[in-house]
Amino acid sequence: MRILWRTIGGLSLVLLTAPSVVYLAGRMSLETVKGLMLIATILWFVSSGLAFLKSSKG
Amino acid sequence: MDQNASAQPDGQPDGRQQFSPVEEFEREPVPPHAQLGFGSFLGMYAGEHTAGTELMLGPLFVAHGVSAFDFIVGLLVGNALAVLSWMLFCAPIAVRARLTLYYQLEKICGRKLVTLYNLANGVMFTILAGAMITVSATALGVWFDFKMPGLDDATPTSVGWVLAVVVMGLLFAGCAAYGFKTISKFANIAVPWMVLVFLTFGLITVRRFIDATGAAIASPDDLWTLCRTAIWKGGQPLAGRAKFTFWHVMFFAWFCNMAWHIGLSDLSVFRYARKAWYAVASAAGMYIGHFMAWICASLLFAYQLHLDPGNADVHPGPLAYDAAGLTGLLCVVIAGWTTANPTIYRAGLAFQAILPKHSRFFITLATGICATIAAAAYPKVTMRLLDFVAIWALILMPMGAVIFVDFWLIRKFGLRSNWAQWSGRAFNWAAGLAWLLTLTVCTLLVQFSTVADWLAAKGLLNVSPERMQWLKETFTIEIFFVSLPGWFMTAILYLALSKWYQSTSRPAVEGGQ
Repeated sequence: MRILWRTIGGLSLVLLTAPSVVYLAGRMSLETVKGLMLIATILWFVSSGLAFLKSSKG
Repeated sequence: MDQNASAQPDGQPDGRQQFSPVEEFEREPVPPHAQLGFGSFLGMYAGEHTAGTELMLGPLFVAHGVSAFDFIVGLLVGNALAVLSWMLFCAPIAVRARLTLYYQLEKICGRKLVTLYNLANGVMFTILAGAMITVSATALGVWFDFKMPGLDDATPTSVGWVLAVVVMGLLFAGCAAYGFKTISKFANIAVPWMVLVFLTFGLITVRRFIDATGAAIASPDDLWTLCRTAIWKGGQPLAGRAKFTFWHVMFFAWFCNMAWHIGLSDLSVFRYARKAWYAVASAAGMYIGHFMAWICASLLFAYQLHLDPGNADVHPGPLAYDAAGLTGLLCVVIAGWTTANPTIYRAGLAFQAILPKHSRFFITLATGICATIAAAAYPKVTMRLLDFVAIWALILMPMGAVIFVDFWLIRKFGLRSNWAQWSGRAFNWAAGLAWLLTLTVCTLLVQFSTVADWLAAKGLLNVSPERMQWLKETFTIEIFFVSLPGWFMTAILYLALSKWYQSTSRPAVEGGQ
């Protein structure tokens, strides 16, 4: 289960950064970038928090 | 700036995140079984140099009228010099002695002088925590439309601002006093996310510059032209700021952590390193926090100035919100919170070393309240953060010179090292005077123009206006540069004063120890 949370965490960091790269290339609106970054932020803190809890218990 | 420190929280030398040896070995060398590998240091430095204050420092470079070449190359060279300072000054002593800074200082300077050092360290950390509280409080300004202090405001500008600082400050102080360990764990989780949010600030703002200027970017040359002509244009600094050149940027990047590398605070960290070269790990912190993060933060402010040259307010909250929405705002709050927390805690520990009978909880809370009051009452410290950091480096740097001379050179001059330990004295006057005289001379050099004017007004300096101008231009040294000659001054003074002191002062303990 911990591996799953870590994978989601890693993907959320990609989701956090990739939209700004696409925006830099001029292929996404800033509002969309902000929305995706917020989703990525929530995913990151939830997944890494849960992974941390699992590792603390384990 | 960073969140590291010299005080030692529970179970962690210097309270470093991601760096948690089981034992502290406060008064003994770290044994081989407790030493750590390269990865521990890489993780620690990479994580801790991206702090809330980077959001303030980056924009201030723009306010000082820095040009693109001076900024980028100055940061590259200055950060390289900082890494070399850790590698060549700090780590070689750390892996040989394997003692904390405090124990090493106590052996050389005596317990009472170390107490003074602790006091200076604690005060500086308290003020820095105030700056972090200020940065986070600007986030509240996005929701509550109160007037925030501008770049030149010395005092609070609205009741709303004071309330925001007090709310943030008390929250941070309570967390530091009550739940330091929990917040440290949360900080570990936040670091990778925070670093990438800083990066997105930069990527997003470069695109916004491209759109705003209509520049066509088809090659690195085009991008560099955009940087030179629209982002870091050089030219005149904002009113009341010194013009920053390559040398200012280089020296600032080199010396902003001077207390830790040349000042040797990080002896407490690298005593755990198996090899001295592990100090190269500091490059991860320098080039993420003091290169990428400063550049990205400066972009936010440069874009604001590009849109409205009259808006020179450095408010990280609105700047980050404008670029990255709620994520940016969250980054400002979390960056300030996670870094103010250990800073308040460590300032508290420094004070607790002076007042050991008081509880850690009470002292940490009181320190946090002091930081809050400083932040609320005097926002100018935050608006002048570059100057404050340079002053901090100057104040703590001399003790690094004292340790360096005592460790490598003093015996070659026929003098005794670790004199306080040998003599049993609690105050080594040679070290104390070297520290005091260096600070006095450096302060006079920084304030030379003011001192010369004062002497002329009192009739003590009667020279022609041309001569006076020459004197001022020749002898005034900016705060960003004075620490380098200051280091050599302390080293020479400590040697000379030790020659006198060790020949005239008798050991407090018969025959020394």
